Amino acid sequence: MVMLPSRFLLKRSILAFLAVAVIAVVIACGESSVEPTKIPTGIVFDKQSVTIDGVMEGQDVSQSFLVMNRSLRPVIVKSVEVLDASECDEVLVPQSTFVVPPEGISIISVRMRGHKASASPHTVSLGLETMDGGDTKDRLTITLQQVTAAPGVQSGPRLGVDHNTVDIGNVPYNWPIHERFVLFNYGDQPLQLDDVPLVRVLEGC
Amino acid sequence: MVGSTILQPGESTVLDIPLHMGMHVGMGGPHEFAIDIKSNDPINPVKTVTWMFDITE
Repeated sequence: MVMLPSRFLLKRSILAFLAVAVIAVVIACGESSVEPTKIPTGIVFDKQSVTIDGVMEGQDVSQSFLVMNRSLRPVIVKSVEVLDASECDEVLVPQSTFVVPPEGISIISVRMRGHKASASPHTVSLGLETMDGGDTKDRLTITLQQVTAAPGVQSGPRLGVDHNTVDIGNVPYNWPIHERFVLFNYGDQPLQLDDVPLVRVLEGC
Repeated sequence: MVGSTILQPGESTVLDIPLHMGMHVGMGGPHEFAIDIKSNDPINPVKTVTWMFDITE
């Protein structure tokens, strides 16, 4: 039996300890290293509910929603379905499937027709089905507060707007938003519009 | 941007307003914009519509 010198055993112990220590540090560093990049998924909207006021009887009312794809792959919008539109004669929504490209934006335009002056505040609900890996369903709502009686054909050029006020609620910082108004002539003469409307800040900014 | 600037009786057009505000922390809270649409309407030469939202963090 060969007896190893004690210094040799000591060196082996130290080396073993250092090896364990190095391994422990490597494991710790691995655990605290940068997390795998999280890929954003899915569709977000500039707004999911909106309230509009000043709707005129019988006049078409339009509303638009921005559909933003925050993911790195295309998202298919399979369908836009009208879930509830009890106080409107007709609600027009996109009929065909469309694709929102990666990090892209599309617009969903909704046109509501045939409001009656007797209509109470009511809501139009839309259901969206999208495909992004799996199927997702979202809901958008438009609340119409008041319908005013139509003035009838007036003498001269007369400007009407489908809605006077729109409140889109909470919006995150640096969020793109989009609004659409329908302008119409309910007079009996041609109406000339200024090309660029003036935007004034009443509150905020 | 306005689709068409001359409307015959009964015609309509759209006014599209895209907005991407360079907001940052400290600029949140209620916002209200007035949009003045001018025309040759003799009764209402300036039609104002309002647009409201609440910037949140």
